[in-house]
Amino acid sequence: MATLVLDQLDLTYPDGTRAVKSVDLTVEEGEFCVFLGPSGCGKTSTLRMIAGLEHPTGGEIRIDGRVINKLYPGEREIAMVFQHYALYPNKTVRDHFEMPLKALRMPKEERNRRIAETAELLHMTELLNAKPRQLSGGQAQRTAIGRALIRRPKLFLLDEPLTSLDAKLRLETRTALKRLQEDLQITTVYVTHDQEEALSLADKIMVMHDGEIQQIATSYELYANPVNLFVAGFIGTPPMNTVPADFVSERRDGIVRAEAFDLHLTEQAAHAVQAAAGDGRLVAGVRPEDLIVTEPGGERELGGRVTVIEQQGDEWIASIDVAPGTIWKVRTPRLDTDELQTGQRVGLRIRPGRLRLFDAISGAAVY
Amino acid sequence: MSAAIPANQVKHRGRRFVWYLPAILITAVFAFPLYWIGSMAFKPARIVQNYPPSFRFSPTLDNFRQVFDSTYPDAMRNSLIIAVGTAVFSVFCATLTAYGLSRHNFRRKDNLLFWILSLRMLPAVAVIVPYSRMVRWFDLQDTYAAMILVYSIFNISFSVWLLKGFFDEIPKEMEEAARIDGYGPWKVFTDVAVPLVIPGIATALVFSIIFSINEFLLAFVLTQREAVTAPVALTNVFITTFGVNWGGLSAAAMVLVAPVIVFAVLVRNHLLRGMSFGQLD
Amino acid sequence: MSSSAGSFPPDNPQSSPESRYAGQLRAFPWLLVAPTVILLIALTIFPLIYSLYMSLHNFTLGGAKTWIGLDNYRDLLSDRSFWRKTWFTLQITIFAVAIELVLGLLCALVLNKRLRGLGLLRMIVYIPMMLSPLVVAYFWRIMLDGSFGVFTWFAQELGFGKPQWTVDLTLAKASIVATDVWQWTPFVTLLMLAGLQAVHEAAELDKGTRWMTFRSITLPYLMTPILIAVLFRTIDTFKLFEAVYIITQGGPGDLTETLSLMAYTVGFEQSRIGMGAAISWFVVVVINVLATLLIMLMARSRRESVMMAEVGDDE
Repeated sequence: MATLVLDQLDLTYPDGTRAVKSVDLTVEEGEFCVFLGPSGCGKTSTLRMIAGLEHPTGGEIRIDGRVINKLYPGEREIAMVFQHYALYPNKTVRDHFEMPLKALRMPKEERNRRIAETAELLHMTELLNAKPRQLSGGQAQRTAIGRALIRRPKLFLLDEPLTSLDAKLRLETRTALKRLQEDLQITTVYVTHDQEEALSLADKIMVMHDGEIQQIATSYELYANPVNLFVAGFIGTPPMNTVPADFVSERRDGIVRAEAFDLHLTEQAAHAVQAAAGDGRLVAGVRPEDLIVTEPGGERELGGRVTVIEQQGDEWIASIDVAPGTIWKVRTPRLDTDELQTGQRVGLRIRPGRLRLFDAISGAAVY
Repeated sequence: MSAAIPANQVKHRGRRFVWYLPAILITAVFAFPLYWIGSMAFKPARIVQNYPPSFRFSPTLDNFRQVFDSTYPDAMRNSLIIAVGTAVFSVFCATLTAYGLSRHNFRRKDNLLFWILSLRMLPAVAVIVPYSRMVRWFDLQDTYAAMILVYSIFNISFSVWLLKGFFDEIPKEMEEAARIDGYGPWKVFTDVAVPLVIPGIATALVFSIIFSINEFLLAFVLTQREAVTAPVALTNVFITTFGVNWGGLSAAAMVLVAPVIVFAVLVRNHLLRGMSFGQLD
Repeated sequence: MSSSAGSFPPDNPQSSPESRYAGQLRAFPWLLVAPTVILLIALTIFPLIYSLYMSLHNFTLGGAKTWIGLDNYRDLLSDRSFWRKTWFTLQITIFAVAIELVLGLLCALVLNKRLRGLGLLRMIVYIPMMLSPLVVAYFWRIMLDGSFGVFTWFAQELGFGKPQWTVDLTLAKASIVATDVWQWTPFVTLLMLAGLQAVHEAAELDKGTRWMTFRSITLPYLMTPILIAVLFRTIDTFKLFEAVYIITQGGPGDLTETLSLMAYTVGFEQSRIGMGAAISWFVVVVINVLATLLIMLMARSRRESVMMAEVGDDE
């Protein structure tokens, strides 16, 4: 159990590519932190630097205040689960569990006790003498986790550990992993490109893009208040609906004027836009579940024709062409919209307070 | 080019079997010399030099008896000692080097690799003259040690290339996981990487043994009595001023060929890699 | 909103402790490579330099030596029999490599069919290349014997009289080439079969004429194996020793002496060590030039063959 601090962490490859740019992060004791981002965003490089497999070209990595930059991976008291588990085809599950203990020069009885204990914890007692090719995907994954946890590391690192599992198993394992982490209260850093995984597992999520931190926040914060257009577009399925729009000031409040419709702003929102002192060119964004289908409205009111209806269990996701070339998605419970049909013209209302505004140039959230 | 597609397919399937004919013919051509010398080895002395050659005869083991009564078995023992010594020594060095070249980045690494490969191309004739004098400096004339050192040169360069290919195939993650587990660089090499390239090491050992058993010119120049190898013995045990014992020579040749064929079958899955220095896979 | 990080100060600021593996990590790559490099320098670079040094001296049987500068090379280059032997070595190389390529490719095309039992036949075909060149030379020496050789009898049965393989110059050359071809065609076949595996799917589509398919799809994939085969075979055949030494002993006269045999004869049988070293240096230089040319060709053709293969795929 430990606190992890990344301080101005930087990684530039010999060819000049800057993979990680000044990353600052604190992961508190027992916290489950997820690095989330598209592939190539620098999340895995950051994790590998924490593990000592990659050497930072700038900044510091500290565990409990101790700088570990120059330590060999095995000296950092960390453990890691690799994407493809990195199991040895010639070694049994027991061998895998025993390796880190042997490296610690632990006496034989103590080793055996720990192995039995870990096997018990992961329900693998029967499988200790199996070799990797005899294991199912889930068992292989548990072997990798057991091998990592058996040395009781200060820090538990996981690099996309669920990607090689099928969908059903992935869900089960996710839950098991979360419970395990909570039981052991172990500080955890978990890398994934799957936002659903991130949102469900994390106490804290660091969203990365192009080597830079976009936002560090809890699942809910990330979802409700994305700090910029990248996060807004990356989080949520389907992602946030957006449209370019200009701010037009009126007496007390204001409106944003998109190509085909106007949206009225609350007083607060208008203030925020004015305070931001941009040039008034914005991007307006609404999450699909924050839209409500209504009767078709008048001229320059939000609405359009239903082009596609996708059914997802008890929900419908309707695509609506709110402007030429702009399709917005609406997520709505099935009960509310019995009569919705393809080709139908509908109006749309935004739930109060759920309109988000971003600066069109910088992408930063304005309100 | 027939019109109906199904008919064409049926015809096609039938036509495939026609390929057995040239395939068997080719095999026969390459197998014939083996068959012929093999039959020579079993021919009674009086018909060995018959003309026209006799195809049908009652086989005898006389030639093999002669081989084992001569000094040829000593030469075979020498060959075996030198071959095994060379294989162990050269594959040991090559395993270290191949791993180094596979996992670490050096300045001029490609140059080093190319240089190592080019040494296998070195003609034996280019070094026999200096070697014949160098062994005298170190008082190594006619010794196993000299032969093992000399053969190792040719086998190290070969094995480095072969094994580098095998090491390159180990996923990087496997070694990284061990480093995180607390294995130092040397332990990662011995406990993780080496066990994973056992097939490669076995292949390198076998190819090295075959090379040493087969080599002639260097052994011919560098051995006189004590360390004479089987190929060298082949040229002087059965060929005397009184004439050539062709039956004995054939039998001795087959005795040398048999283990090589067994080894070739053992490494059949890695034959391509071995013969092309890991250039093709 | 976002919990900004990084401002948290460490409890007791300190510089990063060194890893106890630091020294091992620095030394490790060198330790791995050093034994091999030292050995290779001691037993190849040094002998080559020493050989050059010897070639600049005249050695007497007693072991005394006198500096004679480039005299050995001057004598060698003005010796007509040396040039004849060089040309002979090249001739053997060109003929053997050309025939091995064509036969190797044909054999590969036949043995590439997916038929039951062909694996065993392939294994038998591969045997010759694993054998000792000396043993192979003896095989052919026995089969080509003028008085009891089975090929002599074959030739007579086919109405060619009773050929004296090692006496007639043309037949002697043919015998040497045939020995090399028998042993090394399987090697070319092995490489070609690997190339053919890569095109298996494409070639079996059977569109266009067979020749078109072969030229536009199969051949580009075969370029790399062909060039590797040419490289290895050219270099190996150029240093041919055993077949000549056993089958013709260089005869008739010294008309079938290769450069390797010449270097051995001069350096050991005639004990003209300096001259022997000079000849072996010539062989090293020629092989280097040949190898460099072929490798350059290979690098260029590898790029082209990739491009050609891509074009082939588009069709």
